[in-house]
Amino acid sequence: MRAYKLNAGALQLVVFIMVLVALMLSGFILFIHTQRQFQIQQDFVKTCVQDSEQGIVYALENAIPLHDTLYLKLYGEDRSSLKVYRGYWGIYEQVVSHATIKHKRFTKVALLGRKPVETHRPSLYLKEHNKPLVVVGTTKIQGIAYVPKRGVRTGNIAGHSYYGDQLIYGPEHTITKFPELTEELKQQLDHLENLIVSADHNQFLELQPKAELKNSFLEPLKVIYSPQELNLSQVHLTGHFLVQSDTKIVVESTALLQDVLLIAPEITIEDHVRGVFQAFATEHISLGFHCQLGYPSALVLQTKSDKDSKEVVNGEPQLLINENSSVKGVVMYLGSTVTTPYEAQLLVESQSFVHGEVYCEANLELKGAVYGSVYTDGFVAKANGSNYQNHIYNGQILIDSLPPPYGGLALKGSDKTVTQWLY
Amino acid sequence: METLVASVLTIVIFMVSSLILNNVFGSTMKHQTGAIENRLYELEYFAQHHKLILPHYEDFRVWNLSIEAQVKNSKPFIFFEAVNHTTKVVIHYQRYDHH
Repeated sequence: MRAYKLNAGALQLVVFIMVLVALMLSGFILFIHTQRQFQIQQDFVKTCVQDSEQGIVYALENAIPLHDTLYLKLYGEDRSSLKVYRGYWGIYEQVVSHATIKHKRFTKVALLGRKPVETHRPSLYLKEHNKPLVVVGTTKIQGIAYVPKRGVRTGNIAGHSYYGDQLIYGPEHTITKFPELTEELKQQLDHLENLIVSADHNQFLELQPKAELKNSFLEPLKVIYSPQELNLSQVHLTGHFLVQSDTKIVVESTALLQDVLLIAPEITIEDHVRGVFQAFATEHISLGFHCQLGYPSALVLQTKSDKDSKEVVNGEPQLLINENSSVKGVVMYLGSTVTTPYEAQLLVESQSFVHGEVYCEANLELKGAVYGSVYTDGFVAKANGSNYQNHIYNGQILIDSLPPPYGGLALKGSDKTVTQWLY
Repeated sequence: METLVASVLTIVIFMVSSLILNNVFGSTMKHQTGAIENRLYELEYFAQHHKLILPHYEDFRVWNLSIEAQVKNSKPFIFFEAVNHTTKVVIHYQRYDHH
């Protein structure tokens, strides 16, 4: 009896220890296992993010058909899939890169701008019209300048001569070829008005006063449309929005627009407006006093050939940037070249700044400063009731003040770069 | 006799459990690649911003790193490879090269 008890006692103890050890061991293994599972999930997420970044990099270097989704094989593995879609948002290319691994997904959206292949961005391209460029007053041109064969001269307007000690602060070249927009961008601008045609019924929005609307770029486009004049006041629009009118859009200072498109024949941006948006007009754009348009904004005026006769009459610049305003991005005037050789179609007022590019297929009157590049058919300076051809009077073009990562207008033979990460 | 059986059993249990523990720990240690991955990402960042002369080779603790630029299917790639010279674990991946 006693021996039996002893037996069981020892073996019982062993069984007890066995259970204890088994419990501890299984607990420990379970812990390691869950930790590894989490690690694998985390690796998937990390790879997803990196893959989607790779999609954007791919789009920077390779041609992807427009409005099409491309499936990329990154590592020759089946577990990950990468889709890249390319479209346009205003004048910038929009690339959506979507990576999937198992049930983990990650999407990146980027706006792509362009930068020249050369390391130094040129400051000025002036088209050849057998006229020299004349600099007067406190004008300063800094950077590589492409000017007509007859070169740069100093001039005199209303008793003011040129006050600089150098004509151009940088290398001066004779222009051989005027930079052109890519065919794709031209087509894009021509068909911009038709963007609304492809929109579905439920994509249209009624604009309520004091509305605060947000729309991700991963969602379908939202359209605010009116055949009459549209007045944007006390509204906040952020993201994938298109505001279009058949007559006129007025942006008041109480409106806050972020990354939206405005399309109308006439666009008036009132004083003290802040925001980031791209405005496209066919007849008139005016930017008020003390406005600040952030990067990457765009003001684009594209004249229609049959409207030209009307514009000659009033003689006022069709694209106007008023005093103390600044635009970070692209200011562009497109249209038939110089119907009125003594009038400016694009005016940058004094004390106003353009950080980026000014592209003008007609006459530009530059009184303010451009921190970046100017591409123009010709300059006009007005003073004392006289108009001076190819004169710059107190205007500045300074390329070194433009941050190097800047990505802008799609000119032929330029490289792509990420302008903005969208959401 | 029974005590002997019991002690043998206990010893066997402890032996088996210690073997299992050793195995689990060993494999965890072997797959610990956090440090080397971070180093690779760091170098990838440098390569992206052209601060690294390719090809680049270096030793990082027990790892041999090699970063090479190659063209595959007429597209420029950067190949990253890390080999652990004791456990022979290999990490490799590729990135699109852009200028």
